[in-house]
Order: sequence, then structure tokens, then C-alpha cells
Amino acid sequence: MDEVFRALADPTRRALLDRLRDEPGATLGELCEPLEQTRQAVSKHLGVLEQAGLVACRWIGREKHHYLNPVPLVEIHDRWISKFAARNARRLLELRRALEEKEEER
Amino acid sequence: MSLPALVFEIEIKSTPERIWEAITSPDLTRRYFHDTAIRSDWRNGSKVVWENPDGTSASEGEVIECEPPCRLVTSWSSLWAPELASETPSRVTWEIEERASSCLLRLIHDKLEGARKTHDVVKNGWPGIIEGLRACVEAAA
Repeated sequence: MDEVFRALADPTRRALLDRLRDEPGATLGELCEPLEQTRQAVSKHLGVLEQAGLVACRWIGREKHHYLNPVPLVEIHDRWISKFAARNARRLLELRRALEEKEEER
Repeated sequence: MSLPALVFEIEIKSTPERIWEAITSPDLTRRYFHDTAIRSDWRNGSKVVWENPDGTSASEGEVIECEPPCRLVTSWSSLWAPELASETPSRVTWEIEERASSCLLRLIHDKLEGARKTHDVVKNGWPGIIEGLRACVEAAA
């Protein structure tokens, strides 16, 4: 679990997870495009995410495809948030979103 | 554009044989797979059913590859809701990789091009199922 939190502590790695959520199966080359970082740096970040179990990989031919693996996050969620608390927390988030949207409309 | 695969991985402190048993034995699937009992004779081309307690099928498929205790590939049709049941079958692959003192279970759900609604539902369902499988196997150790 330490590895998961360490991996999540870096904004570039969180951005990579966001990318993989929206584009499952992206290759290293594809992931490098919008990030202003070298291929080596992105590859290193992916390694940390893989080590933490947050990224699953699959080789198809010569290409390595990357997927967001949500299982460690589900483990963290289940450990600290009961089903009842999850419902209430979600309602509060929805309330905030609704209020903030109203605020923007003004 | 075709829908990409869903890939889930979980580390389980157990042996490939025990994990295989958890995937293929009805008594064990009932504990973590939405109360369903898995049924098949595991021959290539044979039917696989995840059976509800009332005897109806929650999901069905066909055995595509069965290599105990490392690899199981089946087709997959979600039958628990009419809007999912009308979609075309997808494919589910279970891979068990032995590590130093544990195993990595990798679940790949792909060929989802004709099963968009299934994709959206199982995306959120599989993590809880394989987490339950892990708990079930590790508790038995």
C-alpha cells in the first residue's frame, strides 16, 4: 500500500493515470505526446505505477499497451470507506458540484 | 473505433492451483461472484454458465481455451439485464502467473465492440469480484 501512495504522490503520474482511464491500452509513444517530458522520464513514471500495481501491461506483438488497474484503489477505498459512508460522501460531492455550477451561472 | 480491453491485475498470496479452483469451482464462485455458481465440463467449445441461486443464468459463454492452472478463456454474454443480453458476446481471459511467493491474477475482458453497455457495467464490477476472489483464496490458506 505504501507503493500505491508513493506512486500517487506525483502529479505527472496522476496525469498518466488520467490518460489511461480515458485511453486504455495507450503505448509509451502515445503517452509521451502531450506531456512535455522525455521518453525516459515517462517510462520511469510508468515503471513506478506498474510496480505499485496501478498500471497493468499487455504485449500485443511488439507493442506494450498500458491499462489503468483500479484494483489497488478499490482496496484502499474498501479499507477506509464503508458502503454507508460512501453513499453520504458521494451525496456531499454531488451537492458541492451542483452548488458550484449554480455559482458559475451567476 | 473499437473499444479497448479492460485489464485488471491482483496479487494473491496463494498457489496457481488454489486460484484456479476459486475460478472454476461452483462452491467457491458463490462466495465472491454475486452468489453465482460456475458450471461447465471445461472442454473446448462447451458451455460455461454463471448460475444464479434460482437456477437462471447470470452470464453464459463458451470455453475457448482451458489450460489449468494458468489460463482460461471463455466468451461472455451478460444475461442479468435484457439490455445487456441483447448485445453480442465478448471475451474473458483469466491468466495466473506464478511469482516468488505469490501469484499475479490478470483478468482481461475484451472483444467488447458489440457490448458497450456490458463494458460500462463490468468495468466497475470486476475489481470487486477479483478482490473478493483474493479474499476467498487467502482466507482458505
